Amino acid sequence: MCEPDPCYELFRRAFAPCPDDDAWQFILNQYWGLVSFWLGQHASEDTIQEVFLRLWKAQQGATSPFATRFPTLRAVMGYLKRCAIAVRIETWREEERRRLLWERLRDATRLELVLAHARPDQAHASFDYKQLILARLKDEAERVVFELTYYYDLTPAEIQAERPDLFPDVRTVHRIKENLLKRLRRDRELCEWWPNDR
Amino acid sequence: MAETRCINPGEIEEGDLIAYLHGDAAPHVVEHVARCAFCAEQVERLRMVDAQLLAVFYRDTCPTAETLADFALNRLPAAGRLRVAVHVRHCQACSEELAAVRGLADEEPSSLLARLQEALALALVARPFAPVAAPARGQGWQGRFEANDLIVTLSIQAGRLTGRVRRRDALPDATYSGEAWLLSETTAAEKTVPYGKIDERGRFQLTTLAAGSYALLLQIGDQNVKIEGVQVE
Repeated sequence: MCEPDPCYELFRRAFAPCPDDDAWQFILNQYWGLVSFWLGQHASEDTIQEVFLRLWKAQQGATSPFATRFPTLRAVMGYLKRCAIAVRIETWREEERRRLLWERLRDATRLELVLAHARPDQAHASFDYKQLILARLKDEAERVVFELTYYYDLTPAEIQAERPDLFPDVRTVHRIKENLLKRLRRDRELCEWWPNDR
Repeated sequence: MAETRCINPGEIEEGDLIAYLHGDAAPHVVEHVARCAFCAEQVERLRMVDAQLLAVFYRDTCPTAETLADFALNRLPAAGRLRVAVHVRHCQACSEELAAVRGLADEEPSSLLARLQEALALALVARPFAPVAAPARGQGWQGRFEANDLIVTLSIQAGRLTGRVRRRDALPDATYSGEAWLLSETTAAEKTVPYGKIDERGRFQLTTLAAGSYALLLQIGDQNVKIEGVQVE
């Protein structure tokens, strides 16, 4: 089937086996404003670039030719929009994560040490590390406290309100959490993963 | 150097330091931590472990942003769709994220501005016949542009834009119909978009324009043409 749209032709040339750099530059000029609009309040030079980069990478890593993967302009634009929505959500999540950490740490005496260490891109965010931690949860009550605290950021009072069947009062949640954190902190296999404050 | 022992272990119980961390501690615990360097140190250590676990595990069971984008755009297979739907029903954070992008994810953009932005992105760029000079203060501005066989003349004076479209080599009695929109190039959050009808003689007019830089979108039949860098004094 023939796709007569000149905008589609730009994409076809940009993703041809011998890519046309001018076509790619034209795509950036043409769709920069639209991507910025899709990103809304999260639009910035970096986030807009990231959206286009994802489109680029998606095709670079693909085994099928561009025209098979994206037979129409509508298909390319749908994918570009998907990249924009994903970047928008990720930016939002990162801002939220940073805000939460800041709230937790605002009274910390060694703020910089913790912030430098508590980053999801550090090695301790690896799958193995997470599995080590999860393997240390010894019963249902600890698992619930852990999940509601760290997956969902609930306070001890909110956890007690959520699961009164497991926790008759908020003191019980405090006790379980303190016991768990102290145990994790002392754990020999995990000790190298905590911020080194000595 | 850190203290090695609590000054009075009988004053606090297990759970009190976490209560202190969350601001839930009883006054005697607050007072104890203020006096006991050992317990203050323990609080800091707990705080570090707590923050690090939050940094690593927060929303770890949520779908990735890309999966959520696929869900919003209805691009997931049935099984994946069901899994995400069940999660979103119980996860306030994901459901808020979905709500925020839902308007964008509609197959057809839901808002007029979104539709116009998409039309603008896909429109053919009209080029000036000659470089357009910036208007001198207090003076009107005129320009002549072309895109394929379409010729557009524009004139802006005192916050009013008047224009005319015609097709090259068209007969004098050729008729036109369409719409003209003026979209700000500096803000993506306009409340109103100046709009004018293109009459059958190809004439259009947009009035009470605020100063700024705009893109003019002309929708003539099924053809979309844009003129960028339209300056209103």
